[in-house]
Amino acid sequence: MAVLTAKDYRSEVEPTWCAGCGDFGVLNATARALAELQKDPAKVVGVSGIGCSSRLPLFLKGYNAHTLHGRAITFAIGVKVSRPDLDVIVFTGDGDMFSIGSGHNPHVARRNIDITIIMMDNKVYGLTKNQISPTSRDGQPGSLTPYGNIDGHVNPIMYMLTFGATYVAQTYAGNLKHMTKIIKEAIQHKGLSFVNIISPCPTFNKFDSYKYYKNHLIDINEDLGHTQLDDFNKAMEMAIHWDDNYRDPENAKAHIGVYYKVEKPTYHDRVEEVKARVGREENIQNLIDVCKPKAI
Amino acid sequence: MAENKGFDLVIKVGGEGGEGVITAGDFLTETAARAGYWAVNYKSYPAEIKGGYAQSTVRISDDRVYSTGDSFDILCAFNGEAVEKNMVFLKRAKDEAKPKVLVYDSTDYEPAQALENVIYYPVPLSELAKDVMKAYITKNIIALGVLSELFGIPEQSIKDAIKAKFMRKGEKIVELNYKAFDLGRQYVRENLQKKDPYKFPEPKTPEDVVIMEGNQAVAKGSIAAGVEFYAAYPITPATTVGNHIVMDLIKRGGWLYQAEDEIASLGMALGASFAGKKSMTATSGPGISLMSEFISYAGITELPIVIVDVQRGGPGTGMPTKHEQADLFVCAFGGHGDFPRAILAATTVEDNFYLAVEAFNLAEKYQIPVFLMTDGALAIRSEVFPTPKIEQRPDGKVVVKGNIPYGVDEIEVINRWVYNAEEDKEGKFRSPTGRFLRYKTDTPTGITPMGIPGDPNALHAITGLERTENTDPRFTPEIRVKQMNKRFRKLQTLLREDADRYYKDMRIDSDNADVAIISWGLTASIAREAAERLRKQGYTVNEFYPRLLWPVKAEVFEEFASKAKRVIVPETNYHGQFAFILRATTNLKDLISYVAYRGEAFIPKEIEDFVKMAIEKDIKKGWFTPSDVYGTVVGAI
Repeated sequence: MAVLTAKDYRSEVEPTWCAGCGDFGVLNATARALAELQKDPAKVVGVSGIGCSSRLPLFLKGYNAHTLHGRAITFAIGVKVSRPDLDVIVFTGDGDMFSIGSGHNPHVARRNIDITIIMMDNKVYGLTKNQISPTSRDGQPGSLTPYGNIDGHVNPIMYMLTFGATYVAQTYAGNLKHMTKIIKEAIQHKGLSFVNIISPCPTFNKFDSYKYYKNHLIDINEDLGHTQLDDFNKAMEMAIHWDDNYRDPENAKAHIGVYYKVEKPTYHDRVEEVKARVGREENIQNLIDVCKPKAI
Repeated sequence: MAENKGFDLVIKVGGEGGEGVITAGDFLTETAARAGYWAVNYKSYPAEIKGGYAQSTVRISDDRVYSTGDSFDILCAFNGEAVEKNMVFLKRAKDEAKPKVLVYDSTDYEPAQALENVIYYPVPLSELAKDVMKAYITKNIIALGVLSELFGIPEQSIKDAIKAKFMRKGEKIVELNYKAFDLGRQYVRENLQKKDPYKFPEPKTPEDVVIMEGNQAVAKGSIAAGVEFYAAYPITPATTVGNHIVMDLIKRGGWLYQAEDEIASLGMALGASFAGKKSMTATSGPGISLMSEFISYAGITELPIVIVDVQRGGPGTGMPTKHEQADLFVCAFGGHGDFPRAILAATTVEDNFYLAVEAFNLAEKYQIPVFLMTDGALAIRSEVFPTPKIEQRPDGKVVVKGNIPYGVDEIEVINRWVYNAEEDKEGKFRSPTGRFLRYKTDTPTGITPMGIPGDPNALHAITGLERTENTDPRFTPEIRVKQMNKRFRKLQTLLREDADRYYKDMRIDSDNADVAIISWGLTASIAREAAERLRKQGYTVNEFYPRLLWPVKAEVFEEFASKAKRVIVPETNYHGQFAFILRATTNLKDLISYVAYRGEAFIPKEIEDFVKMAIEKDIKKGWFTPSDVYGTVVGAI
């Protein structure tokens, strides 16, 4: 097979995102990561829910499914469990994954399903035109909360660590190089990988701008010496500091980098153990005949 | 053999859950099968986790019957509560031709007065179990001994059933149970005088039969159809479909995934379907409500999927352990927007097996959501029926044969149309730039080949948005209309090519019959018996038990209805949901809805009596319940 370039992973469909949307960067980084890994497009399945970010798989070449709001993970599990030979990547957003779809997060993680979840976190509902989301900052105005957000926020990193994800990282849509590296690692990771991508929405979220992140980003691995990646306690401690950025956005840094990376048996590994133990029955009739009165 | 003809006996065993009541019923069912007779066993578990009243009604017959009849001939009461629960039936014996027999645990109960036409056999079941056997657990086996001796239930057949059940636990346990069984027989011989007319005939050479429960039959049928992925979320009374399928599925290389909720179940099942696998889920009403959005998504993305709805009493949490047929509306109309779908409904356990295969065939052929509707009563009822035969041919083809109850000879298992670039040399399913056209709009059937992940020639995305032939989101009127027409053309094809095979269970006695009965689901199996009785009384009765409830081939129903003075549609829901659908989709406006919604199935007598009333009063349309026949609040039961 000829060497594939990032272009070969892009479909003919042109993105409909606003100019300056961070999701363009995520699309580029994904295509690059796939090209660097020389993945066969026919064996990569992108699955998304509903929202600006969830349009992403439509712009990729391969087998892709744009599903229901909050349900991408469920569909992706069905694909992966029935076809472990495929690489499955979920593209989702903060509303899709942590509001309507949040009930699925614990279960995909605790089972260590070998898929990659890429969440584009713009801290706002964009497609429905500016409502606050579970990751919105305090005081952020939304069309349904014009008085400013009073809801509090979730910390996606801590949640996914707690639920049992075996690879957890955060990256930034404005840093193509870092993003590509993280996405690549996440796809290669055996087990449930979760990547939160800070993805600015210049249309509705004026605070979380490129300018803001330019001055606040810091790499936890390179700059803060977070290198013992299989230490869960250290990962949680580092993840707590993401809340600092919510408490004091002016002074606290915005973290990117890998929080946690550990090898554990995947769901599929365990399925294979069970299947080996149970064995196969080639003859369907035998499975019917067990319902006959037993020979004695 | 002649004396066997017409043999038809209903034995009910009732008592405290956990006392082996259900097991005793299972033994009687298996005994019937081993003795060469047919059996239908309707079980009713207590709603409580432990304890509560449980009963098992076993009808054993020479000719196959499909309902458990109006009432029992013999009641074996493990405690006083079982007698009290059935008092209404015992009291009714005085108006009936045949006597009723009450075998009861005299340790626990003494009748206050002797009821007319009821024959009493007191047996100290608990005492015998505790004091003689020193094992209370053997109470139900002692009772089987009693029943065997009193009614001539073949000793060897019961003993074989006992051995089959306990041999796994060792010879000692088998011997203990034989001893309990013999004790029951001995007690009868030494203490009781037979006063009733019920006598089990001589055993025959057993037929090649299976005994399955309704949910088990759904599971086995799905395995025969080649299911590869099952997503499950526990819900009464559907859970046991999963219990029955899980190990078979693993042995066939597939997998059952226990999801976190019903929304996830259907999402996962559809993901597996997209990945190329035959896929299903089973749930009950509340689960169907939760799945509605994904059902609609399956409609627009054209993903094959089988959804089993084991109905329970609704609405809301309703009556989870009770029988009702009130989900037809949600299966036919649930989910937003217009999209094609099909609904099959089983009338018996045997039906469940074959219709599971058919449901996969329709889903795979038409790439639509297909509902297999069954219900809580069918779910836990067991039936003795001829063993289905699965032919796995060397070319991979699978053909299912057997006594298919709706009149087809065999079912060839169908797999979806998968795109093959080799077969598409002229590029019918490719755009000028080479893109795969998943949703080409100009095929005559409306069906288009699916692209399965892994094939480099059929790359595409699916989306719940309206889309072009190559799946790009687009909402122009022209594209919208073409895509809608494509999707609905599949239903027209289904009506043309497949509907008739589900309409064969039809009997026309006369071109101007006194009554025509259209019924579905479990109620059909009861209506069938009512029709037979009416016929014996000289009425002309036409019958139609369609297995396909949606879409509706109007002309078949219209022609059927034209041959009778009145059409009655018995069903167990308030609206008369199937009659409602028939009024909407055919020119039949004067249908008589006859409904019960008390959480229990009809008994044949209620349908029989209503038909006679409708004929007598010349009723041609309207909405009626058993209360209209009997003037009581709840009807006959």
